[in-house]
Amino acid sequence: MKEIYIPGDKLPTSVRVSRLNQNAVRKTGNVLYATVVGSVDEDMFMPFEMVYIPKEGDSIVGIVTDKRNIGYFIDTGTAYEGLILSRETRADFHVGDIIFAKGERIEEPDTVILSNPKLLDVGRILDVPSSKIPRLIGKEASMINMIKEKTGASILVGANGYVWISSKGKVNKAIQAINKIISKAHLTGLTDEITKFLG
Amino acid sequence: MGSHNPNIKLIVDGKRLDGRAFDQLRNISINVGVLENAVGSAQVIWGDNKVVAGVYGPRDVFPKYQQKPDKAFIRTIYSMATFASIEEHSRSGPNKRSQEISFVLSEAFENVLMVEKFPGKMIDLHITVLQAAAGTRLAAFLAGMAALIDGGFPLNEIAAGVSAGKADGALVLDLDKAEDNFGQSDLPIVYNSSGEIILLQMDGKMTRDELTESIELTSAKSKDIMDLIRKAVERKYAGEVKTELNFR
Repeated sequence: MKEIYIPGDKLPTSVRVSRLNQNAVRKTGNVLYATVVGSVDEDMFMPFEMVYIPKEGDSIVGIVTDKRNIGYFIDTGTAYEGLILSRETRADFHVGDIIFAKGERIEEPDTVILSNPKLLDVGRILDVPSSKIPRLIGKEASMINMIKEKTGASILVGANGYVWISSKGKVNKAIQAINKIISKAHLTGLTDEITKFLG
Repeated sequence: MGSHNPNIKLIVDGKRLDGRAFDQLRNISINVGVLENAVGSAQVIWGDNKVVAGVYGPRDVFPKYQQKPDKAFIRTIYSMATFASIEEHSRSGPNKRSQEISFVLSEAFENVLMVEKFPGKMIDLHITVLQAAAGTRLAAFLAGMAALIDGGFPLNEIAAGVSAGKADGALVLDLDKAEDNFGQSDLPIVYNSSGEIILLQMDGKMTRDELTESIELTSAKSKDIMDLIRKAVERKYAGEVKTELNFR
């Protein structure tokens, strides 16, 4: 059983935090404090549960909900709406299209300007808690690459919690694996278990 | 607090009516993650108080005029169930008392939640008292606090509170129904984990020395309650946590 940190707890000095989890800690002087519940895994602070706050550079999977002169409005499944400016893209999207884009900047209070949008193929979108995304990706994308390799499905993970899965490959197996990762993200020995599960 | 009645004995043979020592709290149990639809939730059983809290958000502010450009708007709704305490607070639903408590709880939560992370957004915190037996605002605060932690809202610190009061001239902690109704004073205080006071209300009379002593006693006890929150969180993550995955 790993030690659990709750908000306000001082983290050991060796602990670092990944870009995706930068809101899970706050810094006072040189000391890091946890702001959400989490544990330390190989010197990285891993939140168990965390509300999504958009950051610049986030990869975002979303659905086109509206098309206007200014651009395309994107549902990101969070409190923040995505916007692809029409002056920055030549692509032609339709309402209901699934896209993958980079968060370029946050326009207060609640719009994320997206850049480099790519239209995704037919597939399904899984709504995953955004706090589990770093775990699903794994160290240097090891976890997600393993799922892709073993099941033959194409998967794209958005930091906002939307996970796109293509229609080819062993899709059900991939979804089951993702489900396992989500419910056991805070336990040790997860990688071994998923390796075994995927066979 | 009702009126002080000198004929009612609240301290008998150096003990309180329910047999507790002067500085002893009622039993507190906390469970987190009890509601499936809420982002975060908690249930608190504090003596005979039963409170459930669920937190939703962040989301767009409605009505719009309550939007704050630089921080989140926390809407706390404290309410009593219709069956919570029939004779005491004769009807449930919004009334002067519940609106006041909702307001002070919102103000207290604003001190621990990192509201600046959600500019222009709203966080909805619904707290329902299922059974009331004195000290519901502190039980409600504890439930709300645990729900915020469970939902993964970034917090500067955690907080918890205990009430102090005077019954039959003695300084006691965590007042029960009789002490609340017939004692001389009631003083709920909430502390954050660095020991700062973030909520203080007072009813009745107390001397300056008694107030100082109350603060010392409750401050130490609030740490014990924070440990209970920690234990509740640890219990949740001891095993597998069921999460429902939805297709969009």
